[in-house]
Amino acid sequence: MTRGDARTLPNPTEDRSDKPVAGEASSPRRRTGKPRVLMANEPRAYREGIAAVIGQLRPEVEIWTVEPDAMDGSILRFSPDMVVCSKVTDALKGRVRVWVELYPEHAAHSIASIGGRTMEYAEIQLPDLLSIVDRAEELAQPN
Amino acid sequence: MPGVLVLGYHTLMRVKRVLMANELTSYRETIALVIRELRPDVEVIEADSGTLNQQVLRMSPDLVICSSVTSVVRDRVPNWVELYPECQPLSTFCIGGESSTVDDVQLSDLLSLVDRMEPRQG
Repeated sequence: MTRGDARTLPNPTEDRSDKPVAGEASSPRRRTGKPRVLMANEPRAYREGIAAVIGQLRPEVEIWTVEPDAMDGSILRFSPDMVVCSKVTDALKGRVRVWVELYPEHAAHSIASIGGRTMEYAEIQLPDLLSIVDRAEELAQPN
Repeated sequence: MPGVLVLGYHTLMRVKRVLMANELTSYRETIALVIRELRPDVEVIEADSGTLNQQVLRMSPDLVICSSVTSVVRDRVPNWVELYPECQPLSTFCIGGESSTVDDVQLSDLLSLVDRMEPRQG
C-alpha cells in the first residue's frame, strides 16, 4: 500500500531517537522555549494521530514521536515535559513529571501522573489528553 | 439533505462519508478529528462499536473504520478498514471489494484511503 500524502498534517518530529538533537544535551527547553511532549505509545497510527491532533490544537507544544522501545533513550536525550506511552518504565517515572500510560496492555483504562499525583481514567477521552498537555505546559513554565 | 453537496444547477455529488467505530474512545476521537481537520470535505461520523451495524444501515457510509468487521459491513460498505483487530498490528483494508493486509498502519495510510475512495452516487 502506498503511503499517502498527509497534505497539511502537522509534522511532529518522527522517530528521531537515533539522531542527536543539536544543543539538547545542555538544555533543549532553553533552546526552543517550547514545552515538549514525547509520544511513544502503540499502535503507530494512533501515536501519529494523537501527535497530529496535539500539534494542531496546541501549536506551542513541540511533539516528538518514537517507537516504544526507543522511549527511555529519548527521555534521556530529549528531556520531555510529558510522555504518552503504553507501558511506563522506571526511567519514565524517575525523570518525567507528567506522563500518561495509555491503554496499558490494550485495556480500556489509562493512568496519568501529573507532578507526582496519579489518576486513573476508566476510558480516557481526547479532551482529557489535551487537558493533561495543558497541565504539563503549566508545570514546564519556569517559576 | 445530509451528505449531498450541491455543485451546480443540475449536479448533485454525494460527499464522502466515513463512519468511525474503532476502539478505544480516544483513538476513535483522534482519527476522526484528524480526518475532519485534514479532509474538511469529508463527513465523519463517530459511533460506538456496539452500534456499528445500525449506523451502517442508517448512514450508508463510503468507508468504515472499525476494530472488528461485521457481516453487515462486509455486505454493505464498499470500503472498510479493520484497524488493529484484537490490538494486533496487522490490519485489513478492503477497497472496492479487494482486501489486503497492512502491517503497522500509518496515519497516512488512512488518509490515502480516504482520498482514493469514491463516494457513492446518490
